[in-house]
Amino acid sequence: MNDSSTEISKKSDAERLQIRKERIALLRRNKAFTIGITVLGFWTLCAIFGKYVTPFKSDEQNFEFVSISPNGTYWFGTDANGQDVFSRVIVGSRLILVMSFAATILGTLAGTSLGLITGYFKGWFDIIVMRLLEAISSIPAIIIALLAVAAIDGQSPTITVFIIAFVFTPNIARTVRAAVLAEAEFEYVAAAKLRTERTPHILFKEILPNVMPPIIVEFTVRLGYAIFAIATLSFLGAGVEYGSPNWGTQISENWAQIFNNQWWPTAFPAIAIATLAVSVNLISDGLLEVFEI
Amino acid sequence: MTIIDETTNGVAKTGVSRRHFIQGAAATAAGAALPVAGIVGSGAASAAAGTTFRVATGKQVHPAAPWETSDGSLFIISQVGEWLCFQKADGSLEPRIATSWKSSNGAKTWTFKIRKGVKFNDGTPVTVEDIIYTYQSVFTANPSRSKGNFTGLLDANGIVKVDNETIVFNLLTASGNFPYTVSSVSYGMCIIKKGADGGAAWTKTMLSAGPWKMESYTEFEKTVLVKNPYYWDTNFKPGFDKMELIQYTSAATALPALKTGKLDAVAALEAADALSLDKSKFNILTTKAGAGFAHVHLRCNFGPFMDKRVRQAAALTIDRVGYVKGVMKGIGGVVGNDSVMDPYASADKSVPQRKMDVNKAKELMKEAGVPKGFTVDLSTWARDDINKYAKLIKTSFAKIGIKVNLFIDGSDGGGAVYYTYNPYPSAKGKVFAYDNHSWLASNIGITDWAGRGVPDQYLQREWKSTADWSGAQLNDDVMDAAIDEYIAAPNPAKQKAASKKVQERALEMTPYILAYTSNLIYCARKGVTGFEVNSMGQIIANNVKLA
Repeated sequence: MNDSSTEISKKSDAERLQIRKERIALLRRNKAFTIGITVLGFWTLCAIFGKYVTPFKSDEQNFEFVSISPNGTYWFGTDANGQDVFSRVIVGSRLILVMSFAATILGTLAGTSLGLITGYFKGWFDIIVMRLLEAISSIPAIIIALLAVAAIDGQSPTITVFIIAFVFTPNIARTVRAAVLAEAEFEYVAAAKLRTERTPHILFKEILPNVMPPIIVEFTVRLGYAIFAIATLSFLGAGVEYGSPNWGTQISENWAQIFNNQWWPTAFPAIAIATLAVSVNLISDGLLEVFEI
Repeated sequence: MTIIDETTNGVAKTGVSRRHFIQGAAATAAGAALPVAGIVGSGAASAAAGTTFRVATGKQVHPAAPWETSDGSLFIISQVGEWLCFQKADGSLEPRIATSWKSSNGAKTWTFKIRKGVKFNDGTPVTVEDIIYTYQSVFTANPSRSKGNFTGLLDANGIVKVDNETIVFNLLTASGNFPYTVSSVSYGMCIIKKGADGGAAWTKTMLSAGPWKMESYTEFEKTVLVKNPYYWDTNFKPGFDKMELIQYTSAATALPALKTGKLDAVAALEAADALSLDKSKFNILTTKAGAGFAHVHLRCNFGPFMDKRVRQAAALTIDRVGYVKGVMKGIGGVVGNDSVMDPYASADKSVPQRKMDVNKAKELMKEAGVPKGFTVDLSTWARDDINKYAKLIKTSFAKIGIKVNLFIDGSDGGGAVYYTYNPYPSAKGKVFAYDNHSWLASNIGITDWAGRGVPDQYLQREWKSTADWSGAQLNDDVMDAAIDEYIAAPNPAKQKAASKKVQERALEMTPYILAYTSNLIYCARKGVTGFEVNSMGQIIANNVKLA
């Protein structure tokens, strides 16, 4: 390793640290991000502690109070099975949050790895992989997810997570690849090569930190999509067990009651989905602004 | 008295059930996309009085053909088909092609007198040969969904022509309720022409002798019927010219069409849906205590329910009274002792009813060696009432540590799971494991049965060791003997004595949980009179008038 390449590397480390501090400061002042993170935080708390604080057990049936409109005891009313809608909405946050985060993290890991490799190596490997990913991307994600969930196992959350992750991987890979193609031309990469660093070091220690902003933004965008995908799949009866306190399932079970003017078992889980999705989008917007992507 | 009872004009004494709609997941999605604002609260019962009577029915799973029919297709066959006799809305039988019947030889021989002048809807006469062919073909056709009704009871050689107006059924074993077996209760057994293909090809002509004739048939969607000009009953004078049977995926999706005047009637619906209708615009009709039911089978020959104490414990967890009162809005009869006999006049009322007792259930689980419970999958198909029933089972069993995972298939109206193994046989000494996620082959599953005027078919096709739709696979000699005794009983007194044995054995062995019986609820816009649906769900439109 020569002196000039070491100097470049140290300089880039110091710059990155400074930029990170500035971005965090900007995020704290960003209203969209603040609102988004607050709402997401609320639902996260519900997911973790919800079942300990709800007034009723989420599965408990009270046959004395079936299809009761919102009131002082049942804040969100009860559904046609005599179950407390409020308790089910609060507890229902767990599954959708866990599944959507897990699917997005998995998809991001896989997509980032593919994007790094294809963007760095280019050549025939890049061409083949990207064409394959484009082919996968050309099919609507929800169709792939629905077919795969139905074909493999109708109501396994774990498999559903893997399928959604698989569906997200191409988009993330393309985003990362584009960023890597640009980064690979910078001096610090050439310097690392001159230092005869191993390829994994160059990919994950040198390039990856510099392409994190688009990855983070892509992660939040995909998280929003994952929330919708899981809600849609569970609404369609796929991916999760029927009857579980899950927002999409709750809507699926109760939507027909709208025609009987019983809006509450459907409206509240729908609002919950909307607030969660919007919160993630606000976070994404905030990150976009700060990262100036 | 419920709100619905006040407007009832179609009341059945016994033998009622509901055959209603399938709620498929995909259809649910489509329904959710309906422009709600334009539907909710519209409530306009403004269907123009015309000559077409438009009725919402449940979805088909199989073609509306005699040998293949099931579920929603019975609505169609019940209009074009004709039987020796027909189960009326009150559960009794009325003569149709047969004018009378009598038993002899200790109910082992049944003689039916055939009506003169009955014609098929193409104008050709119905002969004794046609009738014999219809019943003989049930033993040779493939598929033959009605065959199980006759298993152990009759064979092809037992159907004998005496003369051009008389047929004799020589049974293999005595049967006090045999006329029900050759009635519309065997809903696929409408009379077809000698030599005719009663399979899917039959839907091209729908050649039978019922009051209506098929004008057009779009499978799984809609059937248009016109009056059969050759119908034998000269009193058949409905107040309309055409009838449209339109299939809906669920009652909930049909109601907006009813409210906006696109339908005249809905053949079956949920209590909550019925109660939401504006009674100044719609007649809501129901039948009193019914015999139709959806029940839960507990697999007796493999899996976690092999021990009868576990089955008894599971049955003790259910709040039957609360469920009927709350979820079913009080429209339904409570069945406590988990046998199919209770709704019938032949039932022995001295047999105690099973009530919720969680402490006793826990003791039984402890005795059975599973004090902490276990996890088990429940497989069934998607339909409004079945979904709710499944949830009841899940929350009830949880009280004693049994974690129930619900596998509810709504992908094709349940056909895939229901008919994976068709029929699903019972055989002593054999364990048909198959796929645990298939309905009848599962550890627990929910099966619905339409209301029969007598319980014979349930006993023959589900409860006996020779049953072909046996989810529980009880295979119990004591139960078999009790069932045989009941079926052979020639009079009410003997039926009651045998029924008691079936009821007590059911309580002891608990192969099925029958938490409730269900009443048939149907509705029509004001201006429609004479509309009835019998306990099988078969529409009786012969006296309908439209205004």
